Amino acid sequence: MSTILNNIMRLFFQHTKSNFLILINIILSTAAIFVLLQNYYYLRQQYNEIYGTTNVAHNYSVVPEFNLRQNYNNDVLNKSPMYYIGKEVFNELEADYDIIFFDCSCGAMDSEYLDNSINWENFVQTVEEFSYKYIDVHYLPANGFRAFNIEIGEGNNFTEEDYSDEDLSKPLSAILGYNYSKVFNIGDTFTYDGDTAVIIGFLKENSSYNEYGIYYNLDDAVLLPQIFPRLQGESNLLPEELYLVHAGNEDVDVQAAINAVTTKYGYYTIEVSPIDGIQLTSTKDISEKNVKLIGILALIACTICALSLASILVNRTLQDRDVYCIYLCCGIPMWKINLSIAIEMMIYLVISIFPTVAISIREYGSLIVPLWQILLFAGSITVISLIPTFITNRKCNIDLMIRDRIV
Amino acid sequence: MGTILELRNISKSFNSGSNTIVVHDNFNMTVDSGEMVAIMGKSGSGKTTLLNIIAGIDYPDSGEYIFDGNKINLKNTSDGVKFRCNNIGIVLQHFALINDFTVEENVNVALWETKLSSKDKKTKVESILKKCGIYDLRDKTPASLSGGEKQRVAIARALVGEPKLLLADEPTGALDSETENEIMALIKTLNKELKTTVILITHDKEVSDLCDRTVVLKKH
Repeated sequence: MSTILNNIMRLFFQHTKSNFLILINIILSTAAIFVLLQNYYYLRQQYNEIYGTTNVAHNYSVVPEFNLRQNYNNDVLNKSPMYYIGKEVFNELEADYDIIFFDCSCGAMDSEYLDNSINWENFVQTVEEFSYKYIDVHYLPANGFRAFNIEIGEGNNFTEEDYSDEDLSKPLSAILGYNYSKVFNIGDTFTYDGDTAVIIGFLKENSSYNEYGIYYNLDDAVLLPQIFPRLQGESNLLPEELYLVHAGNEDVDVQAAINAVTTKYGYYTIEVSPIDGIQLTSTKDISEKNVKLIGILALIACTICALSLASILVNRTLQDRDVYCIYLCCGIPMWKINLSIAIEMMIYLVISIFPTVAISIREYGSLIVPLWQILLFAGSITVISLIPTFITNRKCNIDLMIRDRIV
Repeated sequence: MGTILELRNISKSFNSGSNTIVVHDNFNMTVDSGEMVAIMGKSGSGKTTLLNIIAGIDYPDSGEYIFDGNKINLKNTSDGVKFRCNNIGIVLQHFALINDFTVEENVNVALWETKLSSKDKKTKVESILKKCGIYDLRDKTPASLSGGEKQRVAIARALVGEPKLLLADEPTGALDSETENEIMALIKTLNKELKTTVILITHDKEVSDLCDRTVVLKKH
């Protein structure tokens, strides 16, 4: 022990400049590690908060590229490959269980235009401000029932034919909310603004769905099939207005699903943005990249710190080679010399923690990053930086000194 | 007077590129306890290699090394360090002192590995400093000492641990003739007083003449 202590004391007083540099280096390394770890934790925490299941977006706005929503009412364009491609793209997207197109999904039927032979009173809602009375109506796409888990209590669901826009003169099919089942029967019809609708089913009690984070109870609602592009009332293949897409599966990457379809037919841009949460697609990628980037930065910073520390240590050791040869001459083993250097470095390491701890407590009121983690990283840097010194010391031998090659 | 050191059929060679340089080939030497032996020889005759083998710094390729009745079979550097710590003091031509230590601290280094108390260490250091005639210089650093004084410090350090054998590699090589005589007189005195066996390497005939015996190495 006496040898180790004596050598530490010698190192301390004999190499004040080098020791100062070493201490500064370790302090900076520790501070850098602290900052990087702190950022990493902050980023990780933010990442976890954002990408918790409750925050993942369910509704997205979709803006198709101009080519996919231009007017096809033109005889020439109507027969263009673009028309067919666009149609194929959206047919496929509609067929995807996880992607549901909504357009004016929530609407209203003005009670004035409703068939007045039926007593709608119990179902009419009123906007007092304008004395506007209406029936709640929802246009559901074919896969909306499955996606929102809306079940038919009585009667039938919409068929493929109900969603077809080929024969617009035929009556609409309608599914009514549970409360209507007390007034209507299956097969009953009603008219709205001259259009006739046939009741084909009733929903189960308390049926509902959630869109944009808004909860809709369907007990008093009329459900109509959402038909593309008939409901647009336009001859565009796709509307210029935003479409809304709901991911049936919370984990689904909507942009990736859309890309998978569009890329089959060519390069079309369909921009997807989250409405009610955080976009799972690119934002997640960026955040993951940021976490990785911080990791890489930490690795680079640690490497630079280790290299710089190793360089100072080796330089100091080279100056000390004659002393170590004298030690060997006096029967002091090399492992004790190395151990004394390692202990000295550990002392500096412990000292170097204090500024970081002080700053952290002053700024944040506590040590945000666990102390053991800072010590682990800074300690690893110190240990790694000691390796070249130990290798240098291995080359120390009395023979070199005897032959006058180092003194 | 018993034998302190015996080298039997020691061979040592080095590889230099594709050539093998034979330094010692079946070399034999015996040194009695308390004897003062000079080793002479031209450059490349293997003087330092022999010193390295005796000090446990290097190992012979073949042959036997018997020290104080024990066959020495050093397997690694650590064994050599232990062997030196217990048995051998080394003095080098260029003194090999730690410049930032005082004379007393330089001598004390040789006792770091012993289990003596600080007080005992101090007593021993002071005693050897007095014997070497440098007690008054104990608080000075090597930088302020003359060559002769530095070598006295080196001798004091080599002998403070009371080794059985003192190995000196050209101990007067860096000194003027007057100082050389003083140092040799000191070594001779300590050899007699402390009964320490001395093996010294020298090129100087006057130095070797002061020894009990001279071994001359020839280049192979």
